[in-house]
Amino acid sequence: MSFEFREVIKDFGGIRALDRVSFKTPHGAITGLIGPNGSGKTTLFNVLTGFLPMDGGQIFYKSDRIDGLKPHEVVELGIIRTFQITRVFPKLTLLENLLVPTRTNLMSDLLRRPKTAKKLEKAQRLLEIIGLDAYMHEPASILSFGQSKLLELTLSFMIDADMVLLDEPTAGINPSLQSGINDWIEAENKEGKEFLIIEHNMEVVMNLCHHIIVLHNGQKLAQGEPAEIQQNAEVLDAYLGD
Amino acid sequence: MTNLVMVLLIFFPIFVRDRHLLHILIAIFVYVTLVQSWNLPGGYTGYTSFGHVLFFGIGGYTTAMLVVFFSVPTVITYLIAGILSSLVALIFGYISLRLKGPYFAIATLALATMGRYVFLNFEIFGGAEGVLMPMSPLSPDIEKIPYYYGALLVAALTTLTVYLITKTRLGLGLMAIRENEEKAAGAGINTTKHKVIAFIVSAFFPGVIGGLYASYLEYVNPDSCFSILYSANILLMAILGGIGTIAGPILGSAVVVILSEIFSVVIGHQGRLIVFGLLLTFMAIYLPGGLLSVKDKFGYGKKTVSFFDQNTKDE
Repeated sequence: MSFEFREVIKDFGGIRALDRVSFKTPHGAITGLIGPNGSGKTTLFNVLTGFLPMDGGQIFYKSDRIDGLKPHEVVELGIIRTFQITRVFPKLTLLENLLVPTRTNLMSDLLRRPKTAKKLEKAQRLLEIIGLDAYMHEPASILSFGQSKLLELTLSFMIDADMVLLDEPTAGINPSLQSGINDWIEAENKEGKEFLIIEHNMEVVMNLCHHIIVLHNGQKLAQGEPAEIQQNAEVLDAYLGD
Repeated sequence: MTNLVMVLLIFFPIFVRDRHLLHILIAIFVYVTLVQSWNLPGGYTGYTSFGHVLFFGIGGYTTAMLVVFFSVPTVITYLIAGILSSLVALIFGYISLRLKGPYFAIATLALATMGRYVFLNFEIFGGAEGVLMPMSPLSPDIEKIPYYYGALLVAALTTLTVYLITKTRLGLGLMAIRENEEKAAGAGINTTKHKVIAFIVSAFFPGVIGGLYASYLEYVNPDSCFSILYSANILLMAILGGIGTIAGPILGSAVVVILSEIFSVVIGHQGRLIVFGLLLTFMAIYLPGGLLSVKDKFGYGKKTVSFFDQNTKDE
């Protein structure tokens, strides 16, 4: 088990965005988080990564309690996320963008140069994979929406994170690149990286994920292997309406 | 180019003894220190302070009080002034750096105004008359020279420090915060720690130069130390030169101080302020990246950052 949610509650004013959500994600897996719009998926990410305080419950990662940590403390534990709306740093070059992610904030590290030979090599390799290596020294503001999403995804691979949270990584990206990204995620997973992915494309979810959690109106509706979820009457209801 | 200017500045007082020219150069060095140190949180991190003069004033009063009442050697008081300024920045930073954009700017403005009133109203600081300091023992034709070199040294150290910081992980983290603070946090940057360090460093140098300038003027009072004109000038110089760059503050300080001298003679003090107001408006509309972005307008620019872009970006 890597993540464990126990009765997690998040309220926005009178609206309960997460309603006693409890689940465990299996160790070493690519876990999919699905649900209709407004079901609480991104809120769950924000609570999990310390961007939003929660109103009840507990969250554990590898049996350590992590709720209440600040966003950078979550990253220091080896958990990194991407954002649904891409948030690359527009006036920094692609290379500088890739040098930003870090797992340490110690003073001795802050006074080092960000560009080490190892980091540079890794950044170059990742930029080659997404086909942007020619623009390494250009500001990120020149990128198209799709390219920004790719860069954002690449950012999360720059540090040796154990767990990567992806919020709709392939939304708005052309199908051939999409399958490239999914192959990449699978390859990283085989190397030992775990993933928790918000994804709307059912075909992708069913093929890519080992385990699926379904949210609906802030509650966990179902959880299980892709084949089970596909047969689940409640899930079909939630998606197709009644 | 940089080396040549440095050599010229080092030898300048040996050949030129004109008191007024030396005074203008000292004023430029003081402003380079103020604008460059403002630039670290203001230009590189995106936290625009309207109250940077506070640290200059704290430095001035620290030196005046220590020299007059405790007979501390003057040069040592400069260091203490810097440390005291940084201490105030540490406390104030933790409180105010939670605020963003205009809210942060207003908080800094309020703090600087409060600082002025504290020194104006407490008897021990001499009220509106301030504190008189001992006269220089040197003869009038060379008395400016130690201050010339002192201010030059502080301006150079400030510039070097800010430059070196921009080359570190800390500097990259600060720029990431400017570009998108939430994303920076998501990438593992301890944003509070980064901002507070930037703020502490940025307060040290104005503290030192405030002390030096006080002993140069041989007095302090609330207006010489806390005038809102300093903060306004810092913004004007930063924007005119090009914020978030190393050369911008130097260029901006030199241009504004020299223009001030010319305008004071040609159109008078009040007229000068009107012209600078118009200049600031013009820059904001037509050249938000500052004078350094002039060449970028014709080519592709990536190093200069627009003051107005970063404050109007969507949250």
